[in-house]
Amino acid sequence: MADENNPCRYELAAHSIRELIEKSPLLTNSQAFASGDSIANRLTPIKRVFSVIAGIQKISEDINLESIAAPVRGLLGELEKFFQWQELNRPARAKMIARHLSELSGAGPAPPVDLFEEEVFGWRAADDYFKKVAHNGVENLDCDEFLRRMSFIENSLLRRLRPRSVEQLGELDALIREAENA
Amino acid sequence: MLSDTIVDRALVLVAEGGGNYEYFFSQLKTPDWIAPLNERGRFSHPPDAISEGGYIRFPGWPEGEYLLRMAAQAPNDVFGVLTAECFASSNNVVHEILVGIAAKLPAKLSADVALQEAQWVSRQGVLYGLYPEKAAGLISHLAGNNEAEAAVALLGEILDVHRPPERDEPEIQIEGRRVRWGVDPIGKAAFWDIQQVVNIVAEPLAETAPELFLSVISKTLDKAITIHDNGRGNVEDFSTIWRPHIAYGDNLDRLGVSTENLQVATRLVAERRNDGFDIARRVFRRYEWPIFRRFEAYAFLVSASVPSEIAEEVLIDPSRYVDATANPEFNELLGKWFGRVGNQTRRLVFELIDAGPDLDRYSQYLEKQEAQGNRAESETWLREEWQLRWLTAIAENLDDSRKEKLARLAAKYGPPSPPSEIRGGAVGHYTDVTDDNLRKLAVGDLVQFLKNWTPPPVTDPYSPSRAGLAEVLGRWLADTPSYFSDILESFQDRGLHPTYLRTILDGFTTALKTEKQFNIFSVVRTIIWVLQNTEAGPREEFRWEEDPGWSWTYMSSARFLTELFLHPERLKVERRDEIWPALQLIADVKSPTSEDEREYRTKMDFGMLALNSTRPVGLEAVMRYCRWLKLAGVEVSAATLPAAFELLGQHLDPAVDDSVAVREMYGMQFKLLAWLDREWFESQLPALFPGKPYKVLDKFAWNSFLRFSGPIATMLPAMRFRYERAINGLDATAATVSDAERSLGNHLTRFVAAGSIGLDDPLLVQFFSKASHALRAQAVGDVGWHLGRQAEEIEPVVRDRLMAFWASRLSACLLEGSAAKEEAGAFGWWLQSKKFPDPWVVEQATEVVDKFRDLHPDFAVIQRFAALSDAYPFEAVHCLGVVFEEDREGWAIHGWGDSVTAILESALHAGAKSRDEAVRVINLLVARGNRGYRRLLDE
Repeated sequence: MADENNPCRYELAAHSIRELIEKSPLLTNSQAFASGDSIANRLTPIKRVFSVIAGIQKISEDINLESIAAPVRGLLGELEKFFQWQELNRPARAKMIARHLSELSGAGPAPPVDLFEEEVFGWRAADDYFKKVAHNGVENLDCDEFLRRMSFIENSLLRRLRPRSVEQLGELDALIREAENA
Repeated sequence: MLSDTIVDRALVLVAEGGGNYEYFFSQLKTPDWIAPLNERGRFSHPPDAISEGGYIRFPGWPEGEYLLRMAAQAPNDVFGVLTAECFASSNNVVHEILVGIAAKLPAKLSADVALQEAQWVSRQGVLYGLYPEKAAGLISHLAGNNEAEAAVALLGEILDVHRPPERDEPEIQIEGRRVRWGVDPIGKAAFWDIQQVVNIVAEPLAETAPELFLSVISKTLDKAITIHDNGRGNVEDFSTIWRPHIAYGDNLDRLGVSTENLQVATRLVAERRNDGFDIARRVFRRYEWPIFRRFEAYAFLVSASVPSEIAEEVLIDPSRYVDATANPEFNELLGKWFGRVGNQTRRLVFELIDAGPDLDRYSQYLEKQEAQGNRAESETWLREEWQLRWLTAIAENLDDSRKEKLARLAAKYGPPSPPSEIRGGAVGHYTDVTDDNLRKLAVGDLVQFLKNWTPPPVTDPYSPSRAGLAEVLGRWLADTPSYFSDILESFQDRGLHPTYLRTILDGFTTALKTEKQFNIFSVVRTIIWVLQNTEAGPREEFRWEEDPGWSWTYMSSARFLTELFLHPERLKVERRDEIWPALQLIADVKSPTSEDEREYRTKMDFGMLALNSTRPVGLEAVMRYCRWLKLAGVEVSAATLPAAFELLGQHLDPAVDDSVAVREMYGMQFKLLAWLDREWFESQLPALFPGKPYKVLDKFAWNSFLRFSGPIATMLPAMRFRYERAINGLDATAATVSDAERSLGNHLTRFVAAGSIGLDDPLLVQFFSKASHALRAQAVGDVGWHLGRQAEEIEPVVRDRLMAFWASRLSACLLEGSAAKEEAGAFGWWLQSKKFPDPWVVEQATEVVDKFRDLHPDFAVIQRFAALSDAYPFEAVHCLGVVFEEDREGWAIHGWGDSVTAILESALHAGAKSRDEAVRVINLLVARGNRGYRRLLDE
């Protein structure tokens, strides 16, 4: 990323982070996240049908729907399939990420999932973001956003693989003392 | 002061990891946290049970543990946050906590929890862990606080039994009726746990709710008996067999445990309460199985305060006298009460006994006897046996005429065994002939007596039998084997049942192992007589009470002969020709036939048939005969002892002998045969390990060889073809390792250690290219395992060969990558063996850990590194960290003991690199709930 002469540096960096995300379950002897079944892939057939429609008529407010009735029906069918898939898989993906993040902490007790829901959403959003950057590039990429999301992934991994528990237990002691001694 | 900021910050830290989560909730000391934590939903997420790979895991519930600690201080607050999600949890630990909390709440709130828990228990097949014991605490709490109904509702669900799943078994019919076996009911908790529960709750429930208590336990026993009956439609529960007396019995099955529970409850209720017998009678009358009549009598027996009018009513009830053995507790009760009741009652009881039993109950039996002309005798026998039992029960209170009658019946039938000992327990062989009876007889009379003695018809396992009589004979022989060897010729009589001679031969085999002298040649002559003058049936079915024919005597002959050659002090080389005919004959016995082996050929329990069949054991005797002679200084070879070697060679010809058990015996005695005459044996190897169409013979010989004989370097050139065949048959994808495959790997690595084969030998190369990952790991690990068991140091040359072998395997693993993890990780066995230089072994172990993140077995690796940690602090703590991280189950550390602390302390006191690694590992340990290691950093 420091190589400013490389015009693809963000895409390449995003690719690397994607690899890290995808392969991180291997650290816990789990299977890598299945690749390929992404939103982008699921949108492909929709895009294909939409291209047919767009090729017939320019999309505008006074579009003649009768002339494109057949491909529109196809589009609606594809949209229905997409939303069904999304309904089934998006929550499952969140569950999968939550489980994966728990497993990265290794054996032993795990905090309840609802306590780190935000982290799960953040992980998923970062994953989608890096996929987008890696595959499609992002015009006028916000460097700060890139770094923020990268740090998020890095910190999530470090918290689990390099925990600072001794120090944190000390802080918990202090909080409890303050609350209970009042 | 407890503020939102503090709670929110604490929860952020809790979310950082499981160690923090557990720690936080374990440290809270006031109930002030309940409300703010509840507002944040913290008590609505009890963890569910986790099912993985056939196992079920119950994660802890730290929030619940906190509530448990606060329950006594703030019961309403705690009760208020127990949500429906908690009671619906699939996690056993959550429910243990819930019943624990309930036991600390006021009774009304406890009852509410207990009823919800009863619903949950009713849906469970198994109650794991400490749940039954903790629930018992709640039940006692409820019983002691006027909430008996809730207590009994929960107890009933815990004690409940159900039918096991139907098994797919072939249907058996006898006389056109399907045989239905008894079914053992299944319960929700282990026997011990169930009894523990009843012991805890019995006193409070017997005190406050005796009828409910007896009812719930009676209901369980009734259900258990119904399940056990398995729809056979019996009115009889056969309880006198499985529970000879209510007061004592075994608890080896669910029926026994349910009965034991009711016994405990009945005794408490009947002993502690004046109306206990009445409560018991009321409850037990609801059930039809005969054992409840016995429980009723038992309640009377243990009750201290039964009014005399009730006692008299019970004793003159004719229904209780129908069967003299069905209700041992009533027999006992009759004996106990008879002396105390009035004359009128006594007279009525005598009338009942004098009238005799209702013979209509025995109509089927009597019809059969009538057909044989025995009806009158049988009726007398039934009546008198029945009267004998009742009169015995009241023997102390009989008038003169009945005393006389009792004495007459007892003389005629023998005193009846106490009702509680009527049946049951293990059985042996029985006889009414004593040792003294036999020893008084002269030889001729003894043989004549044995020939003439006929056992009575077998009515039960206690009937006198020839096997029982033979045991008396065997005991005599054990005392004086020389006497028996002198008179043995008298037993060479085909009219004598084989059971006796078989027992005598077995007795001599046992006597061989003692100091007692006897004439072994006399025994050998008798064996020759048996083998020449008797015949064994093709398949003689087992009989309990006597030998089914002569086949058992043949087997005993073979066992005597093979044992004989292990006692050279009893033998004389110059008289060997007297023994040889017995060996020729025993090696020619037909057993085992192809039919005998049909099923065995399809199995894999190698060795069992060879050791238990006559001909293989006879051939073993031939081999041991040659061994005896060679050890005695006789020149032994195929040339000098042609008869023996020709005989052994003949049995390797499938046309002569196609027994797999015989092949097993040759495989077992491989080393001995090679030692007797290597050249001759090498020439026999193609016959011992034949190819098609005798692959089954090859398989049994090979597996037996692998299992019972170690590798023989001098035989390797001649055996190479067979090793190659075994290697070519390996399955590279196999997930498990058979014993034979493991032995094959061990043979090859031992050849490497001995220098018999080099690292480039095709056998070794082929083995590691064809073997599965699991087998390769086993072969490599076994090297270290064997060395670890060896007390003495290994020779430097052997050590160098093995180090070179490991180097070649590590290179191969590194080329293969993570797929070779299991094989590389098996180096842990080498580390623990302590047979290699420390610097080398630590370097190799560290490389394996870094490249493959595996080193096993973990407990031995950690223990060894603890011993090495002063000299290698970084390597030790680094390996500890990786092995700990890779333990995905989290159990391994519990087997590491003090080794972890030793490694960490060494590293903390060493250089910066070791210290940093120790800090990393301590944080890891603490994050995963091993909080004790935190003190190492505090210090």
